[in-house]
Amino acid sequence: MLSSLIPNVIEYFPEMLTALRETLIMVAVSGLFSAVIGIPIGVALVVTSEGHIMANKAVYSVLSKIINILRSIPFVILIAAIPGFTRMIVGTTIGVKGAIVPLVVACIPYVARQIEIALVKVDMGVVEAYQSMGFSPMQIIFKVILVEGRKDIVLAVTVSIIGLIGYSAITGTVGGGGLGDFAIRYGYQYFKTDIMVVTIIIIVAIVYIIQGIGDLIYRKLSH
Amino acid sequence: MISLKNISKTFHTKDKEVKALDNINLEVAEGDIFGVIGYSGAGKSTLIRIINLLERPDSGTVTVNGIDLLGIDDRQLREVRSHIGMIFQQFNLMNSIDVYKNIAAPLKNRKLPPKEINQKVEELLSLVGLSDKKHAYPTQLSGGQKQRVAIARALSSDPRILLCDEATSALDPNTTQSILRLLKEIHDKLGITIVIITHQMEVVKSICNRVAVMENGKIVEQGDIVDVFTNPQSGIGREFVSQAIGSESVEKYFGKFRGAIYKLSFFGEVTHEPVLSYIATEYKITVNILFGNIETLHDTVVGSLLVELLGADENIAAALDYYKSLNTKVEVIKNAQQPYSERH
Repeated sequence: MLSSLIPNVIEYFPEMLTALRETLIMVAVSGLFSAVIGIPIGVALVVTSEGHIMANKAVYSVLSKIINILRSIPFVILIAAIPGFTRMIVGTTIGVKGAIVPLVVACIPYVARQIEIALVKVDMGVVEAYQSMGFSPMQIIFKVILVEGRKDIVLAVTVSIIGLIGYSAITGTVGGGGLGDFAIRYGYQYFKTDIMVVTIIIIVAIVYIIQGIGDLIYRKLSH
Repeated sequence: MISLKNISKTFHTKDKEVKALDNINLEVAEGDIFGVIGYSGAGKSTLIRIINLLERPDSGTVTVNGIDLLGIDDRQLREVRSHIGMIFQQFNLMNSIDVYKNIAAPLKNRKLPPKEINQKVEELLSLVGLSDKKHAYPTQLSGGQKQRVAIARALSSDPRILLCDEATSALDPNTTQSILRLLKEIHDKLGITIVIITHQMEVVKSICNRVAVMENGKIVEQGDIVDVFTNPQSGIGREFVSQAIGSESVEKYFGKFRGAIYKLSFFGEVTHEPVLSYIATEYKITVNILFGNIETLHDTVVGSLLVELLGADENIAAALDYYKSLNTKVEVIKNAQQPYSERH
């Protein structure tokens, strides 16, 4: 029955699995790097903002402007604009490896802004209380802001990862592989509609699973 | 213990300047429960933040325990701060960790051994009466309980000074009293010096031994609580006192009385004597009692009476002299509308 309903999916099943694996690798690796680099930048944005513990107008405005510029470049153009940089980092501009660099570059500013929005919610009164107890700025960041803001950080990272899934589909256009590439090539260009539909279902499922995990952790951390 | 000299602080916003503190001088002695009272916007919150330099003054000196806080570096300042406890109107607890961890946080930060931390936290929990809420989260607690946790947290570093920034303003009257009793208990047990910022005279009269009244960034009067309470010098001081004793509502109708109205404040032994009936018979004066109240101010019983005195001017003068000889404070609230002789 399946073979009459989705014949092409069954025919191209090994390719689909490869594409799925590529997508997961791209999202996981670039998500990891984006979080590791983006979270500290988000924290820096918050603590250097006006009236905060390390208020510094110059640092804040430089960071903020770089983020705005990077975020305003459409992703397709970003991929095409930084091949030199990509080659310098991973040695190639194509395939999963070549896709990860532009994904990270596009995702860092996104993560940073999301983290800023998350951590700005941490009550300044609480920060002040710990200042009054003699906590240093670094101690306040690690023991107060990141602890109080951790559940919102989880949400921010979740949203960013889901954003990455969308971006990762675009990397297919420059030979990045993955589900997006698979769906375009077989589903769109070869008019194999069943492939398109199943691929979309898979992507929706991935998004749901990631959002579900994020929500679960958020609830665990909420009291 | 705490000495603020010539403190001024101006906040600059886009289109205006706000002088929050204007040449403030304040001395808090060891063991004081010092109240600073004023309406919102008087500058009192800025004032208390100057004491641990959460706010830096534009000019003046801040000396705590003999240390000039403006003359030390950040690291030394953090050390000083760790020995000054502070509690807040909104409690400012960390909602993501439980009560135990909230109280333990400053101890952990000082890298005390876990066993010592545990013992200390248990002691503090029992001091504030929350031993059974050890693993509750702040969001599960009432306002009064949250403030108790905040007090325990503030005491964890064995401070010699506790700063209270509107600590009872978000609480209902009963809870306010229970928190004030706790503060008094802590003061008596640990000998800690307490500075309280508030807009509630209720708070000041319950536990403070000294008080400063603030208005528009200035301290308009300060002194012993009984002195300020029985003989306020400033307009705003009088306002707070009449609010506290509850005479405010009567004072609106004073215009309707033709005789002179006096406020008699007496304390100590006099409160037991029938002095009013004595002057009525001795000086042939008619006494019309408009308002009466007895308060306990930091261990002193203070009575306040608002009376209209009707009689010959010289008799009233003699009666007032008699009162003054009894260590009673006499304040003229309103003069007679016309001389006595023309009234009859």
